Formats: sequence, structure tokens, C-alpha cells
Amino acid sequence: MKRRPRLPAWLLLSSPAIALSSILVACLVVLGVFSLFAYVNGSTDTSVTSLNVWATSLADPFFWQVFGRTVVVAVAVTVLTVGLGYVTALALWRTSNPIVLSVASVILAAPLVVSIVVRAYGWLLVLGDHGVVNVALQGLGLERAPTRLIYDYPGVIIALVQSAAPFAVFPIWASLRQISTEHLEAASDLGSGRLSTFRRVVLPLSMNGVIAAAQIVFLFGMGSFVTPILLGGGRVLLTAELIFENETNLNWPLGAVQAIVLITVSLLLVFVANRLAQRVWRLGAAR
Amino acid sequence: MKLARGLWLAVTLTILASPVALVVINSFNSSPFSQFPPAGFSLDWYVRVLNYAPFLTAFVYSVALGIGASAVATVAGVMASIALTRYGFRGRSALATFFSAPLIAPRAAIGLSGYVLFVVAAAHIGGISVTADPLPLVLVHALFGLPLVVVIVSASLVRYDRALDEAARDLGANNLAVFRRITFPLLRGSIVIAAALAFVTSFDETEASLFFASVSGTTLPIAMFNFLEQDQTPTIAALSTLMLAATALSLGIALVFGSTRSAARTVALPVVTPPKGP
Repeated sequence: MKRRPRLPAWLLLSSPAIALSSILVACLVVLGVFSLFAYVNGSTDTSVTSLNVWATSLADPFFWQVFGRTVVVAVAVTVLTVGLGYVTALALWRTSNPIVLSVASVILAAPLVVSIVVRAYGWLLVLGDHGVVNVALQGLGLERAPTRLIYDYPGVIIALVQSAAPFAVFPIWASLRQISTEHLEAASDLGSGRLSTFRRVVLPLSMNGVIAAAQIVFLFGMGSFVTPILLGGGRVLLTAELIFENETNLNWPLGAVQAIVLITVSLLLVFVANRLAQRVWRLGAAR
Repeated sequence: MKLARGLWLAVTLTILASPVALVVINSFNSSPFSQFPPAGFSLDWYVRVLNYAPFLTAFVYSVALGIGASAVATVAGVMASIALTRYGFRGRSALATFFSAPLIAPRAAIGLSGYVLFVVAAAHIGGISVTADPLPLVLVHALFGLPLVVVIVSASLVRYDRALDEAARDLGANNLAVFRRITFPLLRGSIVIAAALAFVTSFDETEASLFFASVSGTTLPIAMFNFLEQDQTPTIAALSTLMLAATALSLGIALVFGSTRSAARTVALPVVTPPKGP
């Protein structure tokens, strides 16, 4: 072996990536610092420091209303995405047709490489007043007036579920594929039926994928921003949009407080939910 | 059970694919109202998109940004992947987590703080123009591309047979020659795919980019976002279809260039079977 240089090779090799990722750290520092400045109307003057912005924004019922709505939307998106994603992953796990598998992978992964604006526009065409769904419902004589799907919660949540689908289906599918056939054979040899094999073998063994999926999808929902603007029709104001408005209003201290609350509360909720899930799962496994 | 499974997959996949499919269909719609089924066939919206100057400018800008961001993310990401997979050191998994953090960080928070950071830095450092500077967007887009590059390249490095490098070294190659002649050609497939994904990530990024619009100008998704807020004629469908084609094309080219066959050809060791591509 050669002599290592004074600076370890791994550090030398990863220094560009560390420098790049440090932007994230710098961003957090900026948020912390700016949240301590006083907001001077219409300017970005940073001569006065105070805790005023923290005090007023944390006492502001409007902010908590928006924040609560964000949590509700994120939870709804998480439950729907993980639930539907689980069934889909289960179906894919049981499918061996390679064509079905590749078509499914492409469709599921598409949101990762198709612009969020394109997808939002696509949902307007599907769910809009003259969209496919309403045209079909009216054509079948089920509806007279178009049902409002778009420009309200349903459209936003449907579009967010699609965007989040790859973050749920792929990890769950991966965790299902790790279940060995011996486990399943053992269960059926011991007389376990389909349903009880699922409940007592498959579900517990794929729980890691479910928990990972739920965490990512929830964080994704908490930060969602463009979809609620384009598909919410002004009825679905979420925290990220407030932050954006505060950038344009030059109220950076308030935006910083809101961003900090968004990040810390999201991570805190994920942490608590994770602990809870682990505990429930362990109790269930012990039974 | 089999029927239920097939039915479920057919329904969910159709629903998931419907928005993109309808965008493509609607781009050929002859009616100015986005409707289904289309009123007739027309290519007018494509003509209109190609004659609408703001979209063209934004497209060129987005491509340049994407190339810059992808280059930064790929170089940094490949180097970091080598560090993460080939060296045992304390804090390795912490470093890997650190690199993947941009995937889950709320983009609005990064957008606001990145923008403020840049404006403050520009005020203190001379020579940076606060009005038209693509630099912050290149860096932020590269930040979002980095985790993808690290994941993809690390995965193929883990499968990589290090005996190949040892053999080259035994034959007298130095570290640089080993990387240039052996490691890089074998990894080229995954590097190209990772670079293409980083490019597409930047090309499509909207959420954080909106925060930088006043500093870094209008990218194509922002131009579309602004357009869509006022106008919902199939113009945007034609543009979206062109974007989808561009995305499919760049990923397709990456897959062709990144195939293990082309990687195998460049390696001067015909007896060695290259590792399977991702």
C-alpha cells in the first residue's frame, strides 16, 4: 500500500460534495439569523435585532390555521399514497410479466422526470370542469352540473398523491422483494391461509418500507408549493406559499420564522410518528 | 386474485398516466378550449409555441442551467461516491445522510434562505451582480442533483470488481491511469445516467427556482408557471409535449450511451465481463 497523503483521501474526494451540501447548512444558518431581525416595513434593513417576529408570528392564529391545513393535507396525502401505494406494490410484487413491470415502473417514476407544471396542467385537463372525468360523468347522465374537483382540496390532493407515488411504491416494493420465499412457504406449510400469511408475515416484514415511504411522503407533502398554487384555485393556501409571499413582500424575518417552524415541526412529527409506529409494530409482533 | 390484481394495476396506472397522456392529446386539439375529446387535429399550438419568444429564451436558459448544474453535481457526486464506497472512515453513513438531505428539505425553505444568502453575500462581495446571475440557481440545482448522482454511482461502485483496478496497478498503472483507463470506462454507464437525471432535475425544477426568479431570471418551468396562471389554451400542452419529448430524448440518449456494451468496448481488457448496468 502507498503512504496516505496528510489529508485522508476520502476527505479530499468528498470535499466538492461537502462544499456543495454546505449550502444547505448555510441556508439553515441564514434562516436562524434572519428570524432574529426586526421587520422594517418594505425594506430588508437588518440593523435591529429582536424577538418580535417570533413572538408575533407564533401568536398569529392565521399562521397556525395555514400551518394546520398544511399538516392535514400532508397527512391525507401520506395516508392515501402509502395505502394505495402498498396495494400497488403488492400487486407488482405478485406480477411476473416483464412488460407489465416495465410499463408500471415508467408510469410510476414519471413524476420524477416530468415537470410539476406539466403535471398540474395535465390534472386540469383530467379533473377540470370540462375535463375527462366531468365529461364522462355528464355523458353517463350521472351529473348535470360539473363536479368541482379542481381549484379545491380534491384536485390538490390527487395531484400530490401522484407526485408522491414513486416515493411510496418503490421502497415498499423493494421491502416486499426482500421477503424470502421460504418464509411464505413456511407459513403456508404451517397451515396459514392467504389473509393470515399477509397479516402475520408479509405485512410485518414489509413494515420498514412502509415507514420509510410514509416519512418521505409526509415531508414531501409538508413542503408542497407549486401544486397547491396551480390546482388550489386560491382555496388551498399552504405554509410554503406563505413563505414565498414573504419573500416577495421583503418580509424575510417572518418568512424565516415560518420556514424554521415548517422544518422543525415536520421533522418532529416524523420522529414522533416513527417512534409510535415502531412501538405499535413491536407490540403487534409480540402478540 | 389474479384478475383483481390485473384490474387494480390497470386502473391505478391509467389514472396515474392520464394527465400526461391528456397533455399530449390536447396539444393537437384544434379548439382553443382545453376539452376532451379534442375538437379536431391541429398543429397550430406548436407553431405558436415556437414563435413565442419568452419560451424560446427560457428554454435556452434552462438547458444552459441544466448543463452547468449537472456538471457540478456529477463531478462532486462521482468523487463523493468513490469516497463513500472505497474508504472506511468514521462518520461515513453520516456523510451519506448529509448528501441525501436536499431530497427531503422543503424547497420553499431552501428557496427563501438561498435567495437571502445570495443577496447578502452579493452585497458584501464585489463583482457579483444581484440582478442577473445564474450562479445561485446552478448551485441550488446541483445541490438537488447531488443525492441522485451519489445513489446511482455508489450502487454501481458497490458491485464493481476491484480486482480489475488491482490488475491494472500490478501492470504498472498509477492511480490516475487506473481511473482513466479502467474505473471510469466501466462506470461510464451509470455516470452518464446520473448526469442525465441531474440535468432533468435541474431542467424541471420549479419550486426553489421561483424564489430566485428576480435574481436568476426565468427558467422554462417558471415561464410556463407564469403563462399557466393566465392562459390555459393548448399552447401550454404543445410546450409540455415538447418538454416531455426532450426529457425522453435526453434520458434515452443517456441509456444508449450508458449501455454496458459501449462501456465494454472502451475497456482494453476483452476477457473481462463488465458489471451489469443499473
